[in-house]
Amino acid sequence: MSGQSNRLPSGGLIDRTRVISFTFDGRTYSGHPGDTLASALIASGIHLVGRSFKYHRPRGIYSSGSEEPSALVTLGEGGRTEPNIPATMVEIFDGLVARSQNRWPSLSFDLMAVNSLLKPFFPAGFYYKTFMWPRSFWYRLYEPAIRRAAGLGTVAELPDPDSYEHAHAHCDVLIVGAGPAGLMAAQAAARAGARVVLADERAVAGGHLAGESIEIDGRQCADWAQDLYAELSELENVRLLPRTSVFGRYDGLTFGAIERVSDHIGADTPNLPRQRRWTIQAKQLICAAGAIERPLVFEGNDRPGVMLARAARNYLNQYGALPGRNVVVAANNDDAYLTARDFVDAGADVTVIDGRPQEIVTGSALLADGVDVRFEQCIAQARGKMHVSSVRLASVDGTGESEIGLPCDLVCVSGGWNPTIHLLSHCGGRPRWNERIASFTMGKLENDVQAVGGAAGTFDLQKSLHEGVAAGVSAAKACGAKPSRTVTAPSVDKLPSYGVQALWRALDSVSKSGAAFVDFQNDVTVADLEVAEREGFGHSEHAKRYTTLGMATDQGKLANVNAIGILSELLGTPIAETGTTTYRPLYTPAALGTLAGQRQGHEFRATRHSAMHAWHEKNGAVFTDAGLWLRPYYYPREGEDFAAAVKREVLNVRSAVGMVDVSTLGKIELKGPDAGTFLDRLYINSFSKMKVGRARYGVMLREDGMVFDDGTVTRLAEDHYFVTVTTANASPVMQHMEFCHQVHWPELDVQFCSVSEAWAAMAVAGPKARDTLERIVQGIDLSNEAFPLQSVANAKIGDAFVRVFRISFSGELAYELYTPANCGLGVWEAIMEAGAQDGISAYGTEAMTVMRTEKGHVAGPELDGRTTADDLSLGRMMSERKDYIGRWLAARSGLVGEGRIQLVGIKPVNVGDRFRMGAHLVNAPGAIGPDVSHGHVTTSVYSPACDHFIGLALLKNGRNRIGERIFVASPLHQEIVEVEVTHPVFVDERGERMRG
Amino acid sequence: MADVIARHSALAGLLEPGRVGTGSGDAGVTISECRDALQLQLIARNGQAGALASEVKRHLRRKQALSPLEGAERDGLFICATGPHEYWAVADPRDAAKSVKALEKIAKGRASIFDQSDGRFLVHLSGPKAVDALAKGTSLDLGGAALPGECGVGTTIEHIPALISRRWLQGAAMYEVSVPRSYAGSFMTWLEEATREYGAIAEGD
Repeated sequence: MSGQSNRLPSGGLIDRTRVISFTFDGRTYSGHPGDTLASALIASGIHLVGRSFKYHRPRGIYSSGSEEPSALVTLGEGGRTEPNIPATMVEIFDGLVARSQNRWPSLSFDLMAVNSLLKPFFPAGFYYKTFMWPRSFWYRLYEPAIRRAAGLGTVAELPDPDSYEHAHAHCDVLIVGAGPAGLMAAQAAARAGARVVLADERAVAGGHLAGESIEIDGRQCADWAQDLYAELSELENVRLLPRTSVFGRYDGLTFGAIERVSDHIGADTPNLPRQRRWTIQAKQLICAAGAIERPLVFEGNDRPGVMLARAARNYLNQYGALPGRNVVVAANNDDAYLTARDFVDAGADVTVIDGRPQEIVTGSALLADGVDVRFEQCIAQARGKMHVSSVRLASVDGTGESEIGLPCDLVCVSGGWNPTIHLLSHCGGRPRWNERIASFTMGKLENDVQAVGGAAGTFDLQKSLHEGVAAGVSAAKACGAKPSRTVTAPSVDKLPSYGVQALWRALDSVSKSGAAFVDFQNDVTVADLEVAEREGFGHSEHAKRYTTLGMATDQGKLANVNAIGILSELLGTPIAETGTTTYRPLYTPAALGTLAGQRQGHEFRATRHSAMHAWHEKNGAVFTDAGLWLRPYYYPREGEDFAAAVKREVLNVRSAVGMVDVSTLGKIELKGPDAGTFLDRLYINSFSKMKVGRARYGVMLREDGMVFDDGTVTRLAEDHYFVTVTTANASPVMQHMEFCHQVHWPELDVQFCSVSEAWAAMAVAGPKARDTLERIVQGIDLSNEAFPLQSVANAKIGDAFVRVFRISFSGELAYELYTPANCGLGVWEAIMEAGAQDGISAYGTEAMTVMRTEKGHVAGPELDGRTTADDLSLGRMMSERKDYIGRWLAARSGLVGEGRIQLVGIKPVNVGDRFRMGAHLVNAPGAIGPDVSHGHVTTSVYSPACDHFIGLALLKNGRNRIGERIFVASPLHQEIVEVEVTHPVFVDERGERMRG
Repeated sequence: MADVIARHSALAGLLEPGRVGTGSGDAGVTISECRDALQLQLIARNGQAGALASEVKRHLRRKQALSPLEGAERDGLFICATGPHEYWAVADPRDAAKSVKALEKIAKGRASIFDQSDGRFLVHLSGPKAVDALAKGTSLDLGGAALPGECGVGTTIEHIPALISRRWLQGAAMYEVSVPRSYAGSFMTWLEEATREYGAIAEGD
């Protein structure tokens, strides 16, 4: 195990009493609870962490937050492998496995680094120009080669074993960022009584205070922040969400956030999701997301050992890790002097390079005498191979002599600060250039949105704290809270003013070398921006797309503002006119699993089971999806394939008795004196005159005259009806009925609701169906005379209530039995037992389809929304003595008369032939084209009764073409089958069986 | 053939007594099935919404009629206003006959009653983390003042239709979740996952 050579003997927010072991590139290292992977590597003296995307340049740790562009690693193993994770955001735990990525064969010896030598040949947009010929080579050669050479980590190809979930939160005030301003806002809003959610992407509260060595109210600022956070955690009206990135704002004040629930614990957390995606609904937003430090642009600015100044300070103060001992701090603002001061205090040798004239600098007062501070200079070049070893200085205006070789092992850079305004711009707000801070801030915000602290461009700590208090109070008041306790901001050390002076690039040499990086993650350099500008893509939106700047996983958090500044210089236009890009969700990358949440695998969507599902499973049913329902498709017995099982099931019904689960049908109960009238207006046929105890087939049209649904309507009492509708249309029909009642006929006194779930239903069909049921059904006479077709009666099986219907879909003697769902399984089993001596067996939906096809009954494939009742030979049901939905539009020209498709049967001329559903009907075998189709096959099944394939089809003028020979064409499958047009009923055309 | 047909709860085999998830300390959520409860839907007849509201108010011995989504209980019969002119009633199985009589009295000439008892299963969730668990499935603000103290509201839980009623038992909130029985498998899979983090006790026979 490697030691922690760069760990300071004391200090930081780490638990030094415990040691954690982890591996990086197969080598074991140690750290402490509270460490990130980045801080632990720094403490262990590791600076080379990755290779760049395009040129495979050595890269180190550049920041200490989610903006990290360089130290991207792959975590985990097997299915838990996750690439492209910033080492700066990974909390270490025992057993953590991390690997560098995008290198071969190793991180220190990466052969693909040859790309760096070829850099002059790879300018921005090179692939647009270079790989144009021959065109076919793009997919075969060029793109695969480019993809192999460039890239990030590799995703896992195994299933992800972790669990994820979604959750919802509601609050009065959402505060994004638990830094100083956010903490104060939370305290003020919470004490006023508002419901507060405080989210921060880091594990430790306090924002940058966790890594500062300054005092608030006479205490170390990190302690102050921890104490305040602890106070908030005790309040019932506050929900704290640490490790939570609020990644996007959506309609209104709806926010998406991802909480890293157990990433920091490791894999063995079966009771915790790995990550949780929150949907947060707020009444007020306080954006206290802070600011992101800006890099300086100079040659070699991506060398390991070059680091953002506050990040370096953070590693020093929060983690007790010393990134370097010979330090150059290069800056254009006073904040960097805090870094210089803290490194001096830690015993490092420090040189400060400040691009500004001495007279405007205030930060130097923090430094003890003897610290070398050079004004109006900047770094022109960082040197070193795998780690920075020296810097070359130049005057900030590109003139004068430059100093060769100032030795160092750490370069801390600060080019100013960019307010984190991403969230504020997600709903269309456009950033505006703010000359005072030399960066972009948001203009006028909506009434329910506030920005405080760094996110508002306030880089004065005392002022940020005051802003937090004011925002918290006003947000709470806006939600109706009445603050009773006064919250005041604490006092802080006197700190230097920000005093930034823009410095977009070191003018000396950067254009010549081409290795002055603007976007570290996508390897975009100043030279690339120059090419873009020369070729007419100088607007920020164009340059972004031309160079890929800002399009990496960090979304240009570090790159964009520098790029706009440089483009502004190149174009000679003010920044405000150069344009800016806007930000879109997600603020930070998200694992796809987190977006999916629980909805994975079988739980991708809910499934519905009938009350008899357990029996079906036990008896080997193969299930099919019917919407959300799982329905038995067929019940194979040993040695049977699909076709054999279905054939057996059909023949058993035709010769003996079978039972099918029809619980999935939609069921609607209607009550009230106008129920019959209501149904008359919905259906094409009439029900108000139907006798109590009778059932009738009904057809319902849409307003446009097309068939909507079919099913049975039963009259249970004078003012009580029971309706079944198809499984697929259970909900749409209910909605349709509600619409009609609420909008068209509110005067009708009818009440109805879905009772689909309340009843289990089963159809018992076959010549022995009556024999079977007579053994167990009590209370009714099932004889043909007493209980003819379309009869309904209440009865009992054992002590269970059953409602028996004499209706048939199969064409056989058949009964449908409805029983309260809790009795469904018991009744089903009782019927199975009673029918054993008759040879009863269950049949599935495919056998049901075969039998309804043999009988010419229409179903979903025929009721496809394009057919009229007359098309389906149901026209005679259309009453002319009443009005009903769809009546008049069904009679419009185009839906009647010559040329309509009509339901017919088809059978192959050669009995061994088969044809497909969906295939076209054509007159000649060679007919191909859009205008030759005369219709299509709606259903195709093998008929055991006919011993060949049969089908239902919709054929132009079909009823006049019975006996004609036509062709079924499936050009996709290159199939042509000659068929004969037949009457749609293939079995028992006179209906004697079902009346038997 | 048996004289007695077995009744099978939708949760048969899905809700076994015992501990789910985090195994130490107090359970965050207690889960129990309320078997054989009556679940009835009342829909006002035309022009009778006011009379029905008054009759519900009278039965519940309230000064004010139930406002939308508000609920109240009397003698084991919980009634809540779930929609315009609609009420949802849940009756303790021990008081079923009495409750049915009361509802028939309330509804007489004023409403139609639809029995949904067999079509839905009822799960009771209580404990300090019950709301947090539910928040993993529903977007409703169950922890705030958006809903009345005792209430019943139709929603979805992880895209599964559900009616959640909040009732107060001995000063603590209890959530009664009524779900169409066909979704039992998916719902219980979700519930087990949602409560695992907090530790759940499943009560039952």
